[in-house]
Amino acid sequence: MNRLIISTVIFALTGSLYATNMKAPISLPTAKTLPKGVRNINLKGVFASASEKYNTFGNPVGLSDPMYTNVTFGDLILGKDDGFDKAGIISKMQLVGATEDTILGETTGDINVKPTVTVPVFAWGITNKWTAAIAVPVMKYSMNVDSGIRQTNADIYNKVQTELMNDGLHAEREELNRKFAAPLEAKIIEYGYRPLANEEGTKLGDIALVNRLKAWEDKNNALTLTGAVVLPTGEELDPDKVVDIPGGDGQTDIVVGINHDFYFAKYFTFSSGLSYTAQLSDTVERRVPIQRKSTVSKDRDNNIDRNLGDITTAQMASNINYRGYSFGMGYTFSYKSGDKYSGSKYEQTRYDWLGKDSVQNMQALTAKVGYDTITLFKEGKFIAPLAISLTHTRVLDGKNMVNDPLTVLDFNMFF
Amino acid sequence: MKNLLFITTLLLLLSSCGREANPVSAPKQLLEVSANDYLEAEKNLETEVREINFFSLPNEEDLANFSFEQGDSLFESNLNAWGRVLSNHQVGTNFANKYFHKYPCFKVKEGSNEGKCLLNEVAGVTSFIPDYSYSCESMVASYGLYQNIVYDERIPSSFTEEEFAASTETLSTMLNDIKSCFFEAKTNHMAGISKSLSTLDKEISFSTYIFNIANVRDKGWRINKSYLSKENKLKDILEENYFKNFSCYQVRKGPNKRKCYLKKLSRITKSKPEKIRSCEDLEELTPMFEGIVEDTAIPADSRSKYVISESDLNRLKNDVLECKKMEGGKLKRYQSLAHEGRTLRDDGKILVRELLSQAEIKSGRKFLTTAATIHDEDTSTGKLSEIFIDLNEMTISDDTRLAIDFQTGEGFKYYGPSLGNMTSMVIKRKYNAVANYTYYTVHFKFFVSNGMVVETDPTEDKGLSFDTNSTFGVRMSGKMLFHYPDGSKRKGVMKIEVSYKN
Repeated sequence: MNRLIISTVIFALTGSLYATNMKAPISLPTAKTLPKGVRNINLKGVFASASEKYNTFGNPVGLSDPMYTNVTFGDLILGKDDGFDKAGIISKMQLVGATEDTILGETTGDINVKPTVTVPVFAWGITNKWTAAIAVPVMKYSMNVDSGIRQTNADIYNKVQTELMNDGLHAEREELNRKFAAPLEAKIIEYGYRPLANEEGTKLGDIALVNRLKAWEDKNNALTLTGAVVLPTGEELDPDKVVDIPGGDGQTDIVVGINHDFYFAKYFTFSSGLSYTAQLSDTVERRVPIQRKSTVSKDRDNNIDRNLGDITTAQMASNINYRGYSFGMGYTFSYKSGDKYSGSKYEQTRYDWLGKDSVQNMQALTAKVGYDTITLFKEGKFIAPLAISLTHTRVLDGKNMVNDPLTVLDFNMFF
Repeated sequence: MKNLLFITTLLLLLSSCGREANPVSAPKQLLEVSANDYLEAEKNLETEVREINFFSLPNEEDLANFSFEQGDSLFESNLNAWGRVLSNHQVGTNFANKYFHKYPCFKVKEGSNEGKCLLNEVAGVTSFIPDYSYSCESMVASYGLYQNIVYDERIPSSFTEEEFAASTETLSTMLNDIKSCFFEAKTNHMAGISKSLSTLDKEISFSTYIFNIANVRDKGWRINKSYLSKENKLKDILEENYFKNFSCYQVRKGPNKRKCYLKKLSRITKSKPEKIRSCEDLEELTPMFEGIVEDTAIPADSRSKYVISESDLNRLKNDVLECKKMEGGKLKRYQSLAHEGRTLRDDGKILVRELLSQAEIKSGRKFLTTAATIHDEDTSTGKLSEIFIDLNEMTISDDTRLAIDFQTGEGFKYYGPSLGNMTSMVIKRKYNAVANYTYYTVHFKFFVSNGMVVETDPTEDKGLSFDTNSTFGVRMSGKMLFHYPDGSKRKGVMKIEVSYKN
């Protein structure tokens, strides 16, 4: 009972920060529940950054890596609406002796995001075996973004300009000079996106309703079952922004999990957990890509069927707690299957590109230190049972995952 | 109390703190671009328009039933024009070099191999000049002519070797090239428009043809102007170096009648020298300087002023040779090339009209617009497009009137701001911030009697680009938007050219 009276109710809120993406764990697994009538306010402050990620091959790359892409004549042709405009480019291309594969330059980019997520969680021990909770994530974020271009093919670029000048096509030349100096900005304006700019803001995330049921308990073991619903309350991805930090993914998730604690010594606990998150399908509005390498597009469809990939997570951890001082370490493995998109307005290949690089996996290490006043409270030496902890997670390996570490400051109050 | 304060502070801290993202900067590397120094405001312009090219282009829907394949009458009836235009275009030239010019066909004139192809000339046996295929289809047709060359004693004994008759390996390579030819012809948009293409690809190919032909037309104009200029310069050189060296005053009476004196002799010679306009003239006059006999009319001490010396006569004869060499060589070449350039330009015009006419037949929609200009005369009513441009003020007068036939059944009709069927032609000053120079665009609209409205490119207020250069004079060119009476729209092009006054 001692170690069971009070606990920190931990909820893995996967997928809450960046819509469909899987994120590193912010807690260690536990099978604890609240005693009947005990309420808990838990406040998590999640401090993260995003500047690097593991790509689809598991190699670490900058977050802005997708912004580095060659610009070819083929891309310019693809970016035009109709045959007339495409032919205008083809004609100039042929005149200067180039082909669709001729590289004119490389787009570049840099992006840095610092999100801070605060998650107030209110939990209530309905019975000794059943704890219910609600978690309401609020995200404050700061994002700096910049784009550019390296114009590398002086020979062809000058030839094209010479041809335009010889033909007296000054307006066309000005358009070429302007758009090729800042191709992403030009496309953003042309396609009706909001201008690319640094941004700060606060957004509500997806609210989670969690139920935990103590299925088994004895002197050395505890087994709990978890069922949760993550509601689409967070602000969704804005299709008119090239780079956006959504509050939520806009669809409902059903989470089921099982946790086991093994108390192998007075102060030591070995925990393990397994969870499955089913991301229910829904309908969304998105820009439909024109080509695989860029999601920037003028075409939009507000009736896209989306089925985000489900997430499977396995965790294990060990924890020591001596008179309120605690230390724990854990390992997490997660896998998310690919996202599927479909629609009827454009060809299916283009919808498939929306789900590119959405298969994710991750291995992470979490360390946690904390202090709680529960022992002192029980001894009458402290006025309230409180707990505070600091958790730090590092992603060791992954695929299509942000690999920046995150730190969580956790505060609990029981009453 | 302290604890409560601590808790509250922590709560506030956690819920309100946010961090700033790190500053970012994407790498940038921009190539230097040069400004365009083009406007020559001091030149006077003609008011009569030299040429106007003006038409809309069919879209996907219009081209659904359109095709243009080698072998069609559209191609066959303009074979020479297509050949000249295609071979003068970058893609056409590369394509021809890669496939057609790789296999010359020296046709065997007679004997057991008559009509067959050898890869090299055999004097007296084959043609002197080789034939070349001009299309993938004609490569197929000629492939068989390289095969089964039988023994002929007149062909060098090594006839079975690579040098003359195509070997098995060469024939195999030829076959592969034929396949590649068809494949590449499909993808380079300059080898026909197949029925099986998607409508978007047809639109792309059709428009590419038009734009590429326009490029060749411009090339032709530049060639024409360039060689005309060279021709004139050469004529000036001939004039300076040969025609002016010796004057021939033809003798009218006396012992040297019909001969040439170098100087006028009152009552003996004509009062003006013979005009020498060509090397042939010079050649014809040369014997007239020879065989001059004693003439008492010439002052005794002035003979050398009237009669050509031996050395000068030799020099004259040499001048004739040099002159003829230059005239027969360079001058003829310049004249021929200038003519070729002009022909290219005319070829291109014919082909554009043929393509658009065919598209009109297949789609039932009108695309061609004709303007009466110096180059395209209105022979029925004599209308002529005039435009009044002030290069100093950068304005175009409302007195401007363009004689245009929009195929409404009315024939050529004048359109002008003062006539109420056209807006003023407004010149706007614009700035290219990247290349750091000022340029100009022209903006106007036509209101056609059938309800069609045609305007300069409204996208980003682009208009027609306004350019001046020594080759074209003043040129206003760019995209136009055609709003048809049925509510549909088509993109098109317009090019107005006005010459400088000489």
